Amino acid sequence: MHRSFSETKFLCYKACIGSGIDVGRAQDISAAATLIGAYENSFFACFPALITAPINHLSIPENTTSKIAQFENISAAQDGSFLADCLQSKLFTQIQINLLDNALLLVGMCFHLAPELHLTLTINNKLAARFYGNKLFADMACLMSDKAKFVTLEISDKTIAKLVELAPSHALYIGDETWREIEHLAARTYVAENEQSRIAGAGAGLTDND
Amino acid sequence: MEMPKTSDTKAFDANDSDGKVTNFCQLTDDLSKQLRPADSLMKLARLGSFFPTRLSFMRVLLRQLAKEGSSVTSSVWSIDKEGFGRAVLTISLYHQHYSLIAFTQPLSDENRTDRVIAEAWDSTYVLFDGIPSIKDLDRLEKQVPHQEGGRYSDKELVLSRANKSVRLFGHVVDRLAQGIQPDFEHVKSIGYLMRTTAVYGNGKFGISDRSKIASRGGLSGPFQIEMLAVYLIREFTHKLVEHIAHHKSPKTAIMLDAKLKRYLGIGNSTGLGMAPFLISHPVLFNNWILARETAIAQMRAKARLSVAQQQELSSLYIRADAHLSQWQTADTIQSQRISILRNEWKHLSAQINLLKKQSFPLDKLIKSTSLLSLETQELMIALVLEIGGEEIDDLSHCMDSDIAPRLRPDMSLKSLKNILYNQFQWALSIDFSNPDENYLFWYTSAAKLEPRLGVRLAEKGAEKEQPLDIAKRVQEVERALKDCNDDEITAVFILKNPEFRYIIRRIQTASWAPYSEIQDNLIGKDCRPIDMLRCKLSFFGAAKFDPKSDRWTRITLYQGAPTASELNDSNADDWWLPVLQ
Repeated sequence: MHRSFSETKFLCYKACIGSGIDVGRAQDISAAATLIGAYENSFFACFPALITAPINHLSIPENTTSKIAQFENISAAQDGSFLADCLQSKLFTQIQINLLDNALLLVGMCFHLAPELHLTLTINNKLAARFYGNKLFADMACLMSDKAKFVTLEISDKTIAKLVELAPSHALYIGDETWREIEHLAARTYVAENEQSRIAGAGAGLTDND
Repeated sequence: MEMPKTSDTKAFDANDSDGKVTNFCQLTDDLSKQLRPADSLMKLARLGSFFPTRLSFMRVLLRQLAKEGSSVTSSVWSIDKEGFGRAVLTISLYHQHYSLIAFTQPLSDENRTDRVIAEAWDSTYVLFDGIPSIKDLDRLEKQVPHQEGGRYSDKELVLSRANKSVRLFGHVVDRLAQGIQPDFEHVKSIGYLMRTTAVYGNGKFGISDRSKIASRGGLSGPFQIEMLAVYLIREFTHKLVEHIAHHKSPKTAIMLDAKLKRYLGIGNSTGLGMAPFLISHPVLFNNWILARETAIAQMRAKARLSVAQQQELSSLYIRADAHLSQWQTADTIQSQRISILRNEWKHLSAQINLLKKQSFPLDKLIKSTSLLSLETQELMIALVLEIGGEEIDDLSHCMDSDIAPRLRPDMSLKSLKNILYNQFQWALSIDFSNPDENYLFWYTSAAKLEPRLGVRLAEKGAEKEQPLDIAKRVQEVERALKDCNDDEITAVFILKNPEFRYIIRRIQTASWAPYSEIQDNLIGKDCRPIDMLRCKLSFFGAAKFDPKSDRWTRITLYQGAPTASELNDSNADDWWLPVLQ
């Protein structure tokens, strides 16, 4: 079904909160998901699983002078904002990941949080995406593959192998089942009403005939 | 003075990595110093005393409509003699057509509620992008009356509904049918035929995202498309009473008097849903306030008033006085405030006459109210802005923003702490060990997602509270930051403490958007959400605030505004604080 960007972003935000993610990351994940989902609507099918992934406890590599960081397992939702922070602050200029649950969301996180950087992402030594500003050049099939291994994300404006520039769609079509799954997670943020909250919670009466 | 439109990049680049404040609206130094400081301005009590100004969104829209020579036509009017059916009103703006599609239906009194939990309304609407086909109308007739329960396409720009003022609607129809105009006092005391109970824009329930129309001529400013929909709803209500009256008594019915029509605005009933917007859009809110404050500073810097401006000042002062006498509410607190305001305002007459001919008259006038009530101070501000005319109208172009606050991960903790200790003392000074300061929680009810407030220690659901507890979060991050190495960067701190990402982003934003935070405890027992509602509604251009509680208010929109047939009149923009005489 057709969904607006705004309602999608807001529902994704609430689903993140409902999944136990803090407000700041929820804002970033929902914005990134909507941004990158415009390039590949089917992305949303994996969104509920991504935001309910177990919490990763990342720590910063002790040696930051090399500007290269290595991580074993990365959850794009849980850790993506931190990786973008690292690149944006130039704490690291290259990040190597052994196993990444979703490359597309990680691209979305960086795209959203660090649009001024020229970034490239390779998966198993194959160039999968190059992006900056509002431009995304990518091999979408590669980015969409489940569980990317040997991922490198780095600041680089090298114009190496050619990738096709992708255009975002102006509309989102998200499957009803997927939407219901996201709604289900979002519903965890709603408070069940009782008679007292119905009467007093909004500060208004129940009928208005004047 | 030129105030370029802000952009994300510009706002972001305006700060160096140490968080040095750079005003992204590029105010001149002299003018910048004249802006009222955030620590006194951004208090709920003052924000809740704001009045509409010529920078309010309805005023901005109608100036655009007038400039463009817009007119309204009705292409469909399938309304029966009882007033039920469907209709289409179309207006053009910058070579684009926008159509209000209205559906009206019978509604029993027991189902007439202004709350979000309502399931039925007297009338429901969409603002359609273009002119709808019959197929569009048939599709929307199955959806729009269900409001939140329907599904919409990106051809629909705004979704809304309105309920009748039972007393006035019936009275006006009866009188017109009898061939006489409605009772003057009755019209004056209510001021609208219908009141909207929600106006949804920006992608809600599948309608068009704001981005689709944000770059269109005349509609780039905040809430312009929503204000356009409400304006057309007002037009529709005028036509509707005349239609029903005509069918009730075709031989005797008359049209509604143009003067009454102009005075009849559209009501609005507003609750808690409006308040979180100001917190969740800090940069936008900053820009509203900054534009308004810049306009005030510009007017204060005027060395002299022309004779015409002196006359206008006096004339508007008298109008404001009359408006205050027509402002009625049953709310005890607001009644007392109005009473004080009326009294103080009357005593300003001599000051106006004395100061208007002096040097820097507006600055002196504003200063002369500094010891009076906040309502009086802010009414004087609105009066001063009203005579600004074209000198300040262009500041409305600085009031939009699609910028979301951005994190500066490279900022040192030393810089972060500097911002925190310099700009968030208001938050650090609150004693959250006092249960009264941690009293309320904001939440979304499962019942139609109605926004509500709960009492933390008495009600369930506090663990699901919305992040409006800014001051408490500031204190929490301050405690965590206290012993951290100043040389560490924000990115590293957030990796160790991801739960502070949200509040750190807000703190960093405040360094370049000084009016981005309401500097009060929004979860304290003394918090009055109505102040946030009034602040936002004053930016819409609403007047005659009529609180029903500390978290609910009725207002009137477009009261005194030109009707569509009057848009091109020379006095089309002269409707600040209207008076029915």
